[in-house]
Amino acid sequence: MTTVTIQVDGEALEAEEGSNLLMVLLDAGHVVPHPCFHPDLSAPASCRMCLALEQGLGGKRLITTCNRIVVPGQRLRLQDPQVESARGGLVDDVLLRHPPQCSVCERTGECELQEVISEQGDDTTRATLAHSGERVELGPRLVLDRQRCILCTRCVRFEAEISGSHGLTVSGSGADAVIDTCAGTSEQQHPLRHELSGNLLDLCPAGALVEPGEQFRPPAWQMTGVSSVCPGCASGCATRTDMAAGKVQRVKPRGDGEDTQGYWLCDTGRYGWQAEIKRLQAPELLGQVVQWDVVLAEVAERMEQARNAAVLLSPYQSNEEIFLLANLALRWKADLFFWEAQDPDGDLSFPSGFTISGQRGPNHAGLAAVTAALQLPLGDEAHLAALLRDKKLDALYAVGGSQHGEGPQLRTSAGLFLAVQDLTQPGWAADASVVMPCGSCWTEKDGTFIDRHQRLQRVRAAIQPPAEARADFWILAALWHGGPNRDSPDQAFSRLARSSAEGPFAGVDYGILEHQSSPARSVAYGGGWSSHLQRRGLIAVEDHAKRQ
Amino acid sequence: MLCLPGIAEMDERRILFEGIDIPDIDRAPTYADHGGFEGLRRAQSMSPLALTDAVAATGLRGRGGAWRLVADRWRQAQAHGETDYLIVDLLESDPGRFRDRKLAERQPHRLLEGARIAARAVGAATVYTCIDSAAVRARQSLLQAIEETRDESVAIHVHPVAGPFPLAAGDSLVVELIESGRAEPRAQDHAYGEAPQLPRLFDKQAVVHTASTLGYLPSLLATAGEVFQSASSSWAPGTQAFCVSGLVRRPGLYEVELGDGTVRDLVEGLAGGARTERAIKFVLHAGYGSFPALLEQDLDRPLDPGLWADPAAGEVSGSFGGGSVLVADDSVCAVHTAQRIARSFADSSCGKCLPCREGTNWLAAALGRLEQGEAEASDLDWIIERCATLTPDLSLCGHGSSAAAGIGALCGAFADEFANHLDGGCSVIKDLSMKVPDSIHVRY
Repeated sequence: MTTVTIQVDGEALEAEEGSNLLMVLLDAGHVVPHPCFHPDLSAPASCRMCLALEQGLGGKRLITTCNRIVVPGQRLRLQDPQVESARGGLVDDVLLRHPPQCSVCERTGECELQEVISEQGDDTTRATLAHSGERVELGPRLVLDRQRCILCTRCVRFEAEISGSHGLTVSGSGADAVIDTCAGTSEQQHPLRHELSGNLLDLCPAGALVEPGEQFRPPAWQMTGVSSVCPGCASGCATRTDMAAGKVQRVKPRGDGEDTQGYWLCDTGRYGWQAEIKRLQAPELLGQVVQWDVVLAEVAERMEQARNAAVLLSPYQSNEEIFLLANLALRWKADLFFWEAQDPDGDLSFPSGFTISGQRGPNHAGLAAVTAALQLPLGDEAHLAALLRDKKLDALYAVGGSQHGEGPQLRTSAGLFLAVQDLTQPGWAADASVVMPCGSCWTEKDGTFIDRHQRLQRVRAAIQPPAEARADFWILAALWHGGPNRDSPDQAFSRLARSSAEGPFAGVDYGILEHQSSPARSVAYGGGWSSHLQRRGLIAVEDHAKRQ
Repeated sequence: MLCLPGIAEMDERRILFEGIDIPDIDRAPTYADHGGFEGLRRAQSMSPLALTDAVAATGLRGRGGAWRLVADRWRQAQAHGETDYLIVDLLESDPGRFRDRKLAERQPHRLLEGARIAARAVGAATVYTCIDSAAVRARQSLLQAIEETRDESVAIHVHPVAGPFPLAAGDSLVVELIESGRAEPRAQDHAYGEAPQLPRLFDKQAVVHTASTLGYLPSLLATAGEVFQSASSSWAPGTQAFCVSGLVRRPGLYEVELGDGTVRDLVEGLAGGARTERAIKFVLHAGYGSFPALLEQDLDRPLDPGLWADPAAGEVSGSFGGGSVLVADDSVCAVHTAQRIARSFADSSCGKCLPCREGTNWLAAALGRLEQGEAEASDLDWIIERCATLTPDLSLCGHGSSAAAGIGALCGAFADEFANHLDGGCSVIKDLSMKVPDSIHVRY
C-alpha cells in the first residue's frame, strides 16, 4: 500500500491508496452519516447518505463514499450546498415512516439515526404517511420493531457474512419491503438462536432491534462505560461494562482496537455476567460465618505449618493475583498446580473468523506466563489428583472463580486443610475447612489477562463484590502482607514486570496498557452517536476502579 | 399470416423484424431457408478480435436505452480477462415496451444467433436468457428454438424471473436476479468518467445485452455491415423498433430508421395520430421516465438518439429512451398520469435504496391526494422539490431518478394543471367512450 494525497474540502489528506474512502474520511474526523455502512460488513450503498461531491475533469457529481476506494488525486467536497441539500432530502425520506418519538425510544442517546437527524435535518418534514409495521420476536432476547426499521440491512448482512446463519432476509419489495426471518417466527422455534445474536442489538442504527425490557433501563447518557476484557473464554474480546445507578446495566463489545475480534461479542460474553448463581456471602471457617481477619489468620497459619502444601491456580485469576499467590506458595513452600476449563467440543468458529475459544479460562495463557516469569514449576490437575488420592498433601489452597460451573474435579479426604476461594460453594470442596467468597471476573476484577493470542490486556472492575465477599486481589494481598495494606494490582504488576527479564511483562506498565486499551476511538460504529458523545466527554469511559 | 397489429408499410425499414411475417420463421429450417445462420457462420470464421472490429465498424449501439457502443463493451470484457457468461436481458420492465419479447416469440433463432455471435466475441461458454416469467409464449418459443439448435460450444439457459423489476437499473439487475432471485441492482463503484464495470455473476465476469441489440448482429454479420450503410444517423446507425401505445389510432410496433424522420412522423404518421376530435396532449417518448414530456409543438424532434443524448450536437436534449412511446390525448389528465407513473415506480421499486423506496412511495401518495383535490400547497412544493433533488447520482440505480425525471417533466410541462388541482380538482373532460379512458398504458 502506498500513501497518497487526496483533497477534502480543499485540504490535503493523506490516505492509503485503495482503502475505503468513507473510513478514511471518518478517521480524519469528518462527520459523514452512514446508517447502512458498517466497517466489518459489505457496503450495499443503499442509504445513500455518505455523500460527497467528487470533482473530476469532466465536472462534479455526487458519489457515495462507502463503496469507493481512495485513488490518488481525488478531490472531494463535503461542505457543499449540493451535498447538504441532497442529504437533507434523504433525511426527509428516512423520516417519512420512522416514528419521530425519540424521547420514548429505548435507544435514545445512542442512536445513529437520531444523530443524523439532529445534525443534518432542518426541522421540517413532509411526513404524511401512516406508520405501519409490527413488533416481531426474532429470538429469546431480540425483538424487531418494523415501524422503526429503515432497511439498512446491516442485520441481514451480519447474518450472512459474520454469523453465517443466514437467519434474516428482506422480503417484499419497494415500500413493502421488511426484514424477515428465513425460518418464520414462532414462540417455540426462534429463528435466531446462534451465539452471536446479541450483536444485532449493537448493529441496528435505528433502534429497530431491541431487547425485551430494554425500555426500563437507564438511558445512554446516564451510563458510564468501563472498558474491560471478556472473561468468557480465552479469546480476549474487548468489552465495555455500562454502569448506571451503581449497577451493571449491560456489557457491550468495545470494538475500538485491533486487539479485539472486530466489533463483535458472543452472547456468553454479553449476558454471562447475568448468570443466576448462589454467590457466597461471607467467609466461613468450618461451616461457621466469621470475620475476614479470623479466616486469613487461620489460612496463613495452617499453610505455613503444613509440611506438604499445595496451591491450585485458576485460569480465572488475573496475572497480578497469580503473581501474589505464586509468591505466597514460595513462602509456604507449596507446590503449584493449575486447573483448566477446556470445552470438550473445542473452538467454535464462525465464517467471519470470529472464534469462541474451547479454552474457557480467560487467563490460561497468563497462568503459564507468570509462573514462567518466576521460573516456578507447574503441575496439572491430574498430578494434584494423584497426590490427593495418595494422601500426600496436608494443606491445599484452591482457587475457582468461574461463574458458569467450570472448576477442578478433585476428591479430598479427611485430614486435609482445604482453603477454597470461589464465587460459589464448589461441589468437590463441600468439606472445605475455609471458604472465602471472592469477586466475579466479569465485573468485579481488576488486573490484566493474557489471551490465547498472547495479548496482554487490562481488565477493569466496575462494581464491588456483594456483601462480605472481597475481590481476589484483596484476599491475596491481605494474606501476603498479613493484614490491611495499600497494595494494588498496579504495584503488583510493576513487581511482576521487574522480576521478568523477558516475556510478555518485561518493560510494560499500567500506563502503557491504559493507552492501548483506551476506548472511544472514532471507528466504533463510524462516528456514531455513542462515539461522538464519548469524544465530547459526555460518556466518560475511564478507569472506573481507579476513581474508586 | 401473423402480422403485428398496426404495422403499417409506410416509412418502415425492418432489420430487426425482417421476415417476421414469414410463416414458421420461428422454426430452424424456415429461418435457415431465409438466410438465417449465415451471420453466425461468418462470425465463426473470424477471430473474436476480428469479429469485434467488424461490429465496431458498423457502429452498433445497445438498444436498451443507454445507447452505448456494443464493440466498446466487448473490448472492455476482452481487456478484463476471461468472460464466462453472456446474459440476454429480456425483462422489458418499462411499461409499454413489448419489442424484445415479440422478437423472442416470433424470431427466436435471430435472437439466439445474435447471442451466439456475441458469446463468441467475448469468449463466453454460457448464455443466460433472463426473461420475465409473464412472457410465457416468448419463453416457450425460445425453449423450442434452443432445442432445435442445440450445440456443444455454447450452453444456453432460459431463466424466468418474476417481476416487477426496477427500470433503468443497469446490468447488475439481471445478474442479481440470476444469483439471488431478488430484483435488487448493485451499487456502481466506478470512478468518475469511467465506463460502468462489467457485472460479476457467480464471481465470474459477465456481459449483458438487451435482446434487441443482439437481434441486429445476424444481419450485420451476414451482410458485412451493409444494412447499416445507408444510415441517416451517423451516431447511432440502423433502425429502432418503437412500441407506440396509448391513445393513438394504430398502437403497435414500428421499426424505423434512426435519423430519418421525427417523433411526429412516428406518432402521427405511422401510429395514425390522435383519435377523431381529439388532439395529442403529450408524448412520453422514453416511457414513464421521459423528460421532457413532448407537447404537440415539440413533436418535430428528430428520431436520432445522438441529437438527444448530446446537447452539444443539437438543440434538443432529453431522454431518447429504449423504444417505449406513450401517447396521451386531451382526454388525459396530466396529474392522473403523473400519479399512475408514480404508483408504477413505487410498485416496481425494489426497496433497496432509501430515496427510491421512500421517495416513490411518498410521491404516489402525494400525487394521489393532489388528484383527489385533497392536497395542500406545500404538498405540491414538496413534489416539485423532491423531483428536482432526486438526481441519478442520488438513487442507487436509474429507477428512482427516472421516476423523479418523468414526474418532474409532467409537473414542468403542465404547471397550471397541477396548480389547478389544488383548488377543486381536475378540469379535464375525460372521454368515457374508451374502455380505459384514463390509461395511456397498453400492456402487451
